[in-house]
Amino acid sequence: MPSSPSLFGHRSAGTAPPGARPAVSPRELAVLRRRTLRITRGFALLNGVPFLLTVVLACTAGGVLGTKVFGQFTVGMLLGVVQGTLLLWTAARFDRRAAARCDAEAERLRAGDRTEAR
Amino acid sequence: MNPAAPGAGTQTMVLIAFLVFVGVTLLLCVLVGPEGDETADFYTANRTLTPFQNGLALSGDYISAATLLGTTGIVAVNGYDGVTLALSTALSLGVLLLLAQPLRNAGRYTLGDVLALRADGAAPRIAAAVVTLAVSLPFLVVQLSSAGTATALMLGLTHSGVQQFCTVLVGMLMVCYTVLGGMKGTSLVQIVKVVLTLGTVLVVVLSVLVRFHWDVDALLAAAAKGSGRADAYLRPGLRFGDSAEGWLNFVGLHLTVVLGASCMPHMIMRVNASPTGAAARRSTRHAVGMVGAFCLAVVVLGLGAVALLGGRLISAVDPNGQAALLLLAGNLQGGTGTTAGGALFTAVACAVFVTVLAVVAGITLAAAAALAHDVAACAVRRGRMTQVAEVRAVRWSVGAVGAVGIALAVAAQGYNLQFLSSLAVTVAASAVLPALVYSLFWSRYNRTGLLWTVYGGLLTSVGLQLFSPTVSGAPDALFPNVDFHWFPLQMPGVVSVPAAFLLGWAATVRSRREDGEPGFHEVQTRTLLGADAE
Repeated sequence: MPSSPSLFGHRSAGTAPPGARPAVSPRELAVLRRRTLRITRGFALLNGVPFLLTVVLACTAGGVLGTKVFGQFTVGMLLGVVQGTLLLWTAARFDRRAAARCDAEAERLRAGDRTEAR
Repeated sequence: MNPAAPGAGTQTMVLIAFLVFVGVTLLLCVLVGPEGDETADFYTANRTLTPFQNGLALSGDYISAATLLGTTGIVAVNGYDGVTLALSTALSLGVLLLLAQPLRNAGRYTLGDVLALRADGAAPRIAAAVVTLAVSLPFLVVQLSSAGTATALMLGLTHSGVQQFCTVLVGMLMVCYTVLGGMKGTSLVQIVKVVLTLGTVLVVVLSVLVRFHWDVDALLAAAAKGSGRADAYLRPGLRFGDSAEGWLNFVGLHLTVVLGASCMPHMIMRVNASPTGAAARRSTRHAVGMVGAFCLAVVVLGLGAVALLGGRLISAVDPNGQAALLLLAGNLQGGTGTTAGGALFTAVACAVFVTVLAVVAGITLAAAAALAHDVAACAVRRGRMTQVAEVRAVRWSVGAVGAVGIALAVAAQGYNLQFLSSLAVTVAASAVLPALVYSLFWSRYNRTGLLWTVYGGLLTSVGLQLFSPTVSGAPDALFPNVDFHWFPLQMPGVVSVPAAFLLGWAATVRSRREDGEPGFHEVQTRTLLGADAE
C-alpha cells in the first residue's frame, strides 16, 4: 500500500536495514564489537565517574559540595555544570565516533563485502 | 482562594486555548493517522520519521508532568537535591544513548521483541507484557490524576468532582489520540508538545533572569533567602535528611532515575520507530541536547519560584512543590491581571496540559502494543494473527488500558500518588534495564536467566515499595492512617536493581542452555549489524 503524503516524509530505500542475514565470521564480528565497546566505554567512563563522584561526595562530604567557590556558586553547583557540559559534549562525540568507525564497517559487513576495512 | 488559580479573564483565555489546542491536535491526528491496517504503520509510523523528528518525539516521550511540575517543585523545595535530580534526569538519556543502536537493531516494535531475542516461546513475551503493564499503569494513573488536578486548578476550579471530571476528559482525549493516530498521531502530538513546552519554558526562564538583571548569583542568593534555609539550601541533604537512611534514599533515587527513566517501555517503542540503529542513536543524541536544555531550564524555574515567591507559599499549596511552576508563571510579567502576564500563564497552562496529554498517549500505546502484539499475536496466536486483526486488537487494547487507567485515577483522586512515579521508574530500572543489558550483551544469557531477571526485579521492586514508608506509616504516605511498613527506604532501587542483576546472573549460570535458543553469534549479528531487523 502506498504511504500517505506523510508529514514525516517517506522511508528511503537506502535507510532500511536489509532483511537477509549476512554470513559474517565471528572474527569480523569481534573486531566490530571491540570498536563499539571502545567508544561505549569512553562515554560511560566520562559520564559515570563524575556521577558516582557527586553521589559519593553528597553522601560522605556534603559540606565540601556546599563550599562556596565564588559568590553563591558552590562546589556542588560547579560539579553539576561540568557534568551537564560533559554529557552534551560526550553525546555528540559518541555519535560522531560511532558513525565514523562503526557504521561504515557494519554496512560493509551487511553488504557481504569481504575486503578488510582500513 | 488557591494562590495558583488565575483570575476570571485568564481562566477564559486558558479554556479557549485548551479547546483550540485539543481541536487542532485531534484534527491533525486524524489527518496523519494510519491509513490502512498495517502493524508497522500503527506501531512505528512505518519508520518514516527523520532522526531529528524522532529525537523531538523521544524528548516529548521523556518529558513528563513529573519532570515539568515535579522536578521544578523539588528544586524549589529542596534546592541542591533538586538540582542533582534534574541532572540525573538528563544523564539517564545517556544510558539510552548507549543502548539505542543495539536496541533498534535487535528490536521490532515492543520490549517483548527484544526479550524474545534470547528465548523462543510465549514465556518471554508474557514476561515483557507483564513488566510493560507494571511500569505503564502506575505511571498512567499518576499522570492522569495530576492532569485532572492541574487542569481543574488552571481553570480556577478545585472541587474534587471537577478534578475527577477533568481526569476522565483527559483520559478520553488520550484514548482518541492513540486510537485515531497510532504512532504517527502520537509522534505529531509529542513534537508539538516539545516545541511548545521548550518555547514556553524558555520565555519563563528569560522572564526570571530579567527580573534578576541577568545576575545568576543574585538569583541563587534570593533563592537561598526565600527558602528560609539559608546556606543549607545549596548543600545536599534537604530532601532525605542527614542520616544513613537518608543517604541510601539519595543513592537509590539517583540510581533509579539514571537507570530506569529512559528504559521505560514507551521509550523503547519510540527507539524502535527509527529506520535504522544509526538513526536511533542520532535521535537519542538530539534528545540528550533537548532534554539537557530542558533540565537546565527546570533548575532556573525552581530557583526562580522560590526566590520570587518564597518556600513557605510553595509548600503551603503543595508540600511536594508541584504548583511551583504555575505559581511562578502567575507572578511574572505583572501577574495574571495584565495582558502579558495572562498570556504567559495561559502558555504555561497549555504546556502543562499538552505535556500530560502527550505522555499518557505514548504510555497507553506502549501498554496496548504489549497486550496486542506480545500477548495476543505472539504468545497466544503464535504469529498467526493477520495484520488487520492485530491492529484491531491494539485499538481495543488502547480502549481497555485507557479505561482501567481512568478508573484507577478517578478512584485514587485525593490520595498522595506521587510514589507511583518512583514505582514505575524503579520497576523499569530493576526489571527492564537488567534484562535488556543481559539480552543484548551477555553471551551466556538464557531463558531461565531472563525470566528470573524480569520477575525477580519486578517482585523485589514492587514488594519493597509496598512495604516502604511511601505506602504506609508516614504522614505523606498513600495510607497515612495505617502502618504495615517494615522496609525503611522510600526508594527501593538501591536494593532491587542489584538484586535483579544478581538473580539474572545466578539463574543463568546455574541453568543449562535449552534447545532452540539462538546462539550469541546470531544475536550479535543482529545487535551489531541490524541484520534481520524489520
